[in-house]
Amino acid sequence: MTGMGRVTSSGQIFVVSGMLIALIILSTGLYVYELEVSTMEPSPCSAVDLVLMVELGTRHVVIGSLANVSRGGLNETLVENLEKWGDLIGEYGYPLGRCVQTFLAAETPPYTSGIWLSWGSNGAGFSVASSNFTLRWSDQETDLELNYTVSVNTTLLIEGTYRKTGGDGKDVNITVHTFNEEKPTLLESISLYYMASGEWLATGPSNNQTVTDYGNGTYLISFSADIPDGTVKVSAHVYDQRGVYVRANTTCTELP
Amino acid sequence: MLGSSGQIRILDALLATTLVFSALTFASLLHPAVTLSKQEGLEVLGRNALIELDENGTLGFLIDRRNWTSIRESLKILLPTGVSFNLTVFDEAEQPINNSTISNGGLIDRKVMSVQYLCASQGPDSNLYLLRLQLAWAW
Repeated sequence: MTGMGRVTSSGQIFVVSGMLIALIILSTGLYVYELEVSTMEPSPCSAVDLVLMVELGTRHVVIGSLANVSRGGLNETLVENLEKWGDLIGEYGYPLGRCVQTFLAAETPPYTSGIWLSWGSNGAGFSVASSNFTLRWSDQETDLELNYTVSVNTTLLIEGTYRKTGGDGKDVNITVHTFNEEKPTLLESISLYYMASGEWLATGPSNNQTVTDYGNGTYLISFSADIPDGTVKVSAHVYDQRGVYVRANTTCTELP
Repeated sequence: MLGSSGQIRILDALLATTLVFSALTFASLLHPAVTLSKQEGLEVLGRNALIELDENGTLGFLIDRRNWTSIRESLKILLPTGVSFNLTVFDEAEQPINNSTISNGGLIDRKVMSVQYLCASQGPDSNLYLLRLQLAWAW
């Protein structure tokens, strides 16, 4: 009985020892596993990714700057914003090498500091920004240069007709077409004004105004107003979905 | 010295140890080996997701409005299931500006890839941002 008990307790010690060894191995394994979990440094992007990222950002800066200037900001806004963007690219654009973007804002008339705003009375309005860019990047293996141009524009075309309804009363129909980079685009908002006795008046509910959105960048706006003048002049002020403002004036044609 | 039953117990303990050790080794072999190409794939996925979100100005628009929830949901859609991510947005002064986590859970894999992305917003203020997207395979 005594001998048997000695053997049992000895065996138990070995079992416990075995389990302890297993635990130590397990713990070591887990510790090594945890040590291996690491956050790698930002990896450098490929040339294609770099170009895509820079071109996208540049385009957004040009659009944002055009929106700013068209709302009354300084023309120099575009150049200032592009300089800031260029600094950011230089600092963070290409972690494994050097990356520099330079630009030349359009200065050929009618552009000033890369911006051209033409809000005419002939039924056409343009808000345009344009600039040429050179992107250079180099590392131990590559030394590349890319030249590209970013030109964004919001174009507004309006035409109108009217019919006399008696006295000074007139029913006016205005057709509005809007484009971004020559492609039809939808508007964020539109305001219409008509000239009466030398003053621009905004159309409103009292003018029974209706707006028909054809969904392809074309809008038909109808309203009635007392306009004593012999001619009917209207002005459309619009914001596109990028926040760019443009306006255009036109003289409506009388229908019999 | 020891009886046969003692020897059996020693053998038993040794076998148990071997079994546990083998199981551990086998488990580590079963764990998907995170190869370099797989990590590179992760990086491409992350960068493509950001480029896609930035393509029409949505990314800058959402950051301008501090709409972190929409950014998180968009990344969940753009990144494949099984990829864990955590996005941090910095302003021009390199200060993190997202006051809530833009993540779909913990980065539990042993190898975390980090993608850096520059973003400009289309808003009239033309705000500039630096994004750091951490990615890991969730299995």
